[in-house]
Amino acid sequence: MQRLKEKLLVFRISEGRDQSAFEQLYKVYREKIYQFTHFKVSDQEDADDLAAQVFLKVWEYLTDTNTKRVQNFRAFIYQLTRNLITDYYRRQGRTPQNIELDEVENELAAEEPQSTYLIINHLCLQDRVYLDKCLKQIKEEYREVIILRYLEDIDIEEIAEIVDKKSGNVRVLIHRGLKSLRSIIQADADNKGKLQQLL
Amino acid sequence: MNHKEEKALIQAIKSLKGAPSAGWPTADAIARMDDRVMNYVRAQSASCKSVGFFFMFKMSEIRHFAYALASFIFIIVSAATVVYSSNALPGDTLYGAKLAVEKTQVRFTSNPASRAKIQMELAGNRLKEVRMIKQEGGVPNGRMDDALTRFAKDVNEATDVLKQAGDPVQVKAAASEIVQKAAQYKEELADLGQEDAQPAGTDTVIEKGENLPTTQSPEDSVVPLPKKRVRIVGMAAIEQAEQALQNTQESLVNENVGTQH
Repeated sequence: MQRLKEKLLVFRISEGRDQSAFEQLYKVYREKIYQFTHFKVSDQEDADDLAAQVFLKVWEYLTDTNTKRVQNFRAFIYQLTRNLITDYYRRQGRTPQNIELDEVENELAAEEPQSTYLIINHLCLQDRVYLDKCLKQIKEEYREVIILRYLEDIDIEEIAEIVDKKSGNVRVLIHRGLKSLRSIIQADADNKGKLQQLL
Repeated sequence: MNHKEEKALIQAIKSLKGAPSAGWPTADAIARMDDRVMNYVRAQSASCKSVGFFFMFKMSEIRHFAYALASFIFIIVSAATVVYSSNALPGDTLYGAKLAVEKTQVRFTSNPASRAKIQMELAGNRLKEVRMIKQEGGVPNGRMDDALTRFAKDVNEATDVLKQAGDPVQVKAAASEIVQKAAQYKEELADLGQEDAQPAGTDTVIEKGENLPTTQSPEDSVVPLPKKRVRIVGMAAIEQAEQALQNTQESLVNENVGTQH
């Protein structure tokens, strides 16, 4: 039903340059696209700017009579966001950087290395800043699919459409991404344990 | 990575949704973005034109949905017509639909022996209609006559169709069933004919506006009463059918005897 509603809104924007229809669509995707850009672009201001640009581009695309009709708006807006971010990095002459994990003060004094499950449960659920930083340390293509799957709640087939890969590849990327994230968390916990021992 | 860890990790990631520390926009950020985007759109958009309902049918997706909805409504209406017409009586609006449904049932049966059995069952429907009209009471207006005439027609058709059947085994089985039905209908007709029995000499129909005659005799009867029609039309049809079935059964026996020799 949501899909049909979106198609109707897209139609109204394309055929009638309907501002209220655009506003409805914009409000649905506003926060999601904002968070998505912030996960992919480290600079806060640049991320803000890119998020706004996405919607300006959406308006321009939908109201342009020469462009192809959009069948799946959700896939379209995420593809557009990815393309804009790629262009952004290209203009900057660099590739997406992973953020180095700073030492985060931790009240849980580890005398010996804890199981990763405990770390995830205690650290990640309570300290979102910590998890956010761990996420930004994994490879960009892993991070992207993990965000789309678990934050944006998009199914595998649609993610495959957005990232232009097969659904089997997407599943593999998600699995590797989670493994990578776990390794980073484990390594960090081990480092902290060692640090405590040294201290 | 074990399943427990994976599950905990996924849950932790999902908890980032809505968290400002994980990039979720603050109210200020939203306000800034709203200003920028909507000002641009307002500047770009022409005066809004409302898209008419029929104009929206350009969308193939809406068209497909509309066709599906129309088909669904058609099926529902057809089903409702079949259900409501099943109780229709001669003279009712849906009586034609009822007969059409019955005719379809016969047409879609390819086997003549089965068709004959169905035809005989449909004759039973006509008898039910006669009974229902009788129960309604009121001034006779030809409806019962209509039902009885159709009853006779169905019975005759049943025996005619049975003659077209080729397989003697099927014919024998069908004939046996039809004979049973005929006996049942005979009883019902007898009941209908005997119900509300009146003394002789009172078999007249009072026409609207006419005064009741003070002396009555059978010779004065002009319009036959429904129960007379029951005897004339209904019983006659049954007797004719019984004769036809008897002939059919005799011919089957002769064929058997012939093959044995």
